[in-house]
Amino acid sequence: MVDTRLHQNVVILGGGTAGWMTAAGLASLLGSTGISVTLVESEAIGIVGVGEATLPHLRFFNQSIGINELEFMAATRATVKLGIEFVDWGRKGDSYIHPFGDYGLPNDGIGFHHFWRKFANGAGPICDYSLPVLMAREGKFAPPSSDDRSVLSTYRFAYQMDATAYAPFLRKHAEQRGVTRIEGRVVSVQRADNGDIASIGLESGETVAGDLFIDCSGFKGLLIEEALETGYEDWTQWLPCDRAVAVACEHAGPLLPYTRATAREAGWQWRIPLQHRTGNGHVYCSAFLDDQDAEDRLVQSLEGRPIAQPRQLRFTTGKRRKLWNRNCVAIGLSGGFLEPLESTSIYLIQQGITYLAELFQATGRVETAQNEYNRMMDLEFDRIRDFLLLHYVATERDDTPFWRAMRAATLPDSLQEKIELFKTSGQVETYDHGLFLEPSWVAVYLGQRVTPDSYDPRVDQFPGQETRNRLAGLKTHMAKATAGLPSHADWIARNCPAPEDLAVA
Amino acid sequence: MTNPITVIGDPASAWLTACALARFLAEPDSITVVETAPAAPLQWVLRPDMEKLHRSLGLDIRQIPGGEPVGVYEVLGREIPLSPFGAPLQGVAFQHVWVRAAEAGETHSLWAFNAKSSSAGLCRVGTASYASALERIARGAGVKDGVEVDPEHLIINAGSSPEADAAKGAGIALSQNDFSAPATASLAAHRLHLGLKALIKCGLGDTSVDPQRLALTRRLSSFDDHFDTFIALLGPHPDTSSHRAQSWRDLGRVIPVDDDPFTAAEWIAALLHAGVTPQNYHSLSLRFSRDELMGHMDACAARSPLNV
Repeated sequence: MVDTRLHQNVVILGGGTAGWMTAAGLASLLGSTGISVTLVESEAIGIVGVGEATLPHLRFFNQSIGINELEFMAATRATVKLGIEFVDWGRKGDSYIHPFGDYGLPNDGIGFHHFWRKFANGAGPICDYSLPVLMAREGKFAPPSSDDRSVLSTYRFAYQMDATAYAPFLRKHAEQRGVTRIEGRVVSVQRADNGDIASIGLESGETVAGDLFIDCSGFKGLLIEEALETGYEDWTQWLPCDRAVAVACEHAGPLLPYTRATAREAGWQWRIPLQHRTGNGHVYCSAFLDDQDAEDRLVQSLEGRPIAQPRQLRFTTGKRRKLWNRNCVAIGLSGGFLEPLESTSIYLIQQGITYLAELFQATGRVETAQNEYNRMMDLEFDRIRDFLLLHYVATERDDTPFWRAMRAATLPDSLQEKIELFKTSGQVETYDHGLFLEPSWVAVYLGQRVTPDSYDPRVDQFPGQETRNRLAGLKTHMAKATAGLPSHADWIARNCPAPEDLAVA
Repeated sequence: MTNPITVIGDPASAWLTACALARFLAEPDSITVVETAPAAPLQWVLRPDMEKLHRSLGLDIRQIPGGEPVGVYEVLGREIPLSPFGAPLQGVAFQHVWVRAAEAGETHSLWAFNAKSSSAGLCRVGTASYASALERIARGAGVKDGVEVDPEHLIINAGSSPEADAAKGAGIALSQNDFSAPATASLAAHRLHLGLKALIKCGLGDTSVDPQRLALTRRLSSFDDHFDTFIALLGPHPDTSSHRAQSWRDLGRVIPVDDDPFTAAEWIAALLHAGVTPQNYHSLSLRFSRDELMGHMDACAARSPLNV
């Protein structure tokens, strides 16, 4: 049979997290089709290393490309992440965890929070019915049970990792699967007669030609923007934070299996415990806080001694108008940026790779694949944007100009309607495609004091005392199950400690 | 104490709605059913996912006189199966394998690889017997019937008929689609079931502008759109330039969308009836040898012996 495939030679520009994830992903998922994957990167160019904190989806990506989980965790000095603790968001002094898992147990399609609202409200927070929250608070961890009937099956986990170590780890994996790496800095982009990218020229004089180009060049978008002038949708009217400063520090205290996001005067601050250090950063809005102030506030609040110089980042929240334009697909920061409040950067990279692989046609019209890719990725971006924005607007804070401005912000209709629906009925407007399912929305609503006036009327059909007893029993059972688990630090030390030379690096 | 409700619609729609309301949302004695006459004796097709609702109402559809399992349902005279087209080969969706096999000499149409199996769980019932069974359950619970719509009541329009149309705007219309004609009646139960599930989840709400009612309206409207698209594909002038049709033709992809009422097999059937067949295949199909492709085609065809 004649080989008439559309894309035979894939060229990836950029060797950071996005570049090597894409290379490893395409080589593993599509390698059997005989495509050639070439990655061009320059060691002289630093990487941003997005997403030290991740979502559980990354586990499935790693599995799908044949990565051994414990080897990966050791190589990236990873710890376990059971959720994100949000501090000072609803009000100063508040704290809640958005867990990777469900509340309670499944019950006939009715969200657990409706039962909690009717039968347990006042008898403790809903977090008492979330195993990952209890585990996170106690610093405990064991992998979830595969027995659906067990309460130990009600959670998932992600990683907190050294993102700068993930790319080199993937590089080895990708090169073993036939990816060719070319060292070099891009100095020119050659266009074909039809406007597509034909090749990229390197400083060395070498030219790298391809059928499909993946732009993983970071914020600059060397191909998608500088060459193709695709355009950018600016979302700062909704998410105005536009700067971040990051610095690592020494550990202080126990190794916690969760990320912390603390609301600050003009943004928020992250803390991500890895095996060998703690990653910290301050995301802020430059209209309300200057760079030096932001850095000072970050450094002053560190739990341990800083071990590097603070690094500044500038960004514009939003996304490219088309993430796949002509024969170029933007994956990672070149495609768009949403602040890392819910650790979505690597997830978006992963989805970009997944959809690209799904739409990797051998024959046919590329335009249809482009349209479908852009439709799916737009959906992902839109839904994450709304969820991030919820954190800023579901708040009683009005103690700084930034928070007052956020409270006065105009919301997308889609989000306004979701919030009103939850307030009146406890119902979560769900969707079938995109990130963040009902428990995530419930976590943020309740954690930030958006309390429903009512609950699902079907709950009234459950007998009162019996249901109360069941909830009390469940709470006790979850507390006992948590107590019986090993500590997170012990589990890491036993299963995936970073090699000595990495740990002290 | 719930506010009084009048359910209006053809008998099967109205009594199913009354049963669901009485079971999940309202006091049975607050519900009045006003039947509109069905336009013609109709047959509905009940889908396997309705089993949960039936069970919760205490209804065993095997006991309904004249009910029979079927492998397909018909819309506008076109057959729609629930059973899948072929089977994936090493994780590659069947349609991609089929297009690739066609290049290698495979001559059967995609239809040849659908078993149209009645084990997929479709059951055809006469609306009169179905309505009778539901009416017994509803009356047993305390639901009343009436002959006029009380304008003071919350009016729920459960079906599509001229009389029910008159009630639209004064309450909740569970569907804007019209399934009162025999040619589309087999979709009526499915559409109503989706509407009822949305109603049960969102609740009745107090006014037409409260958030619950708006969420319900959005969800119902989304279902209506999907049904309209689906039926249009089966009509005389299908839109083959839509993104859905293009994706199927160019990518062999059934596009994923929110609130999708139909399975991939149903969309594929509708697209094939519209004359849209996949022309291209995924790169992963390239790894199969001619023998692997033809062997797989033979194996899939053997599972659909009636069609080949």
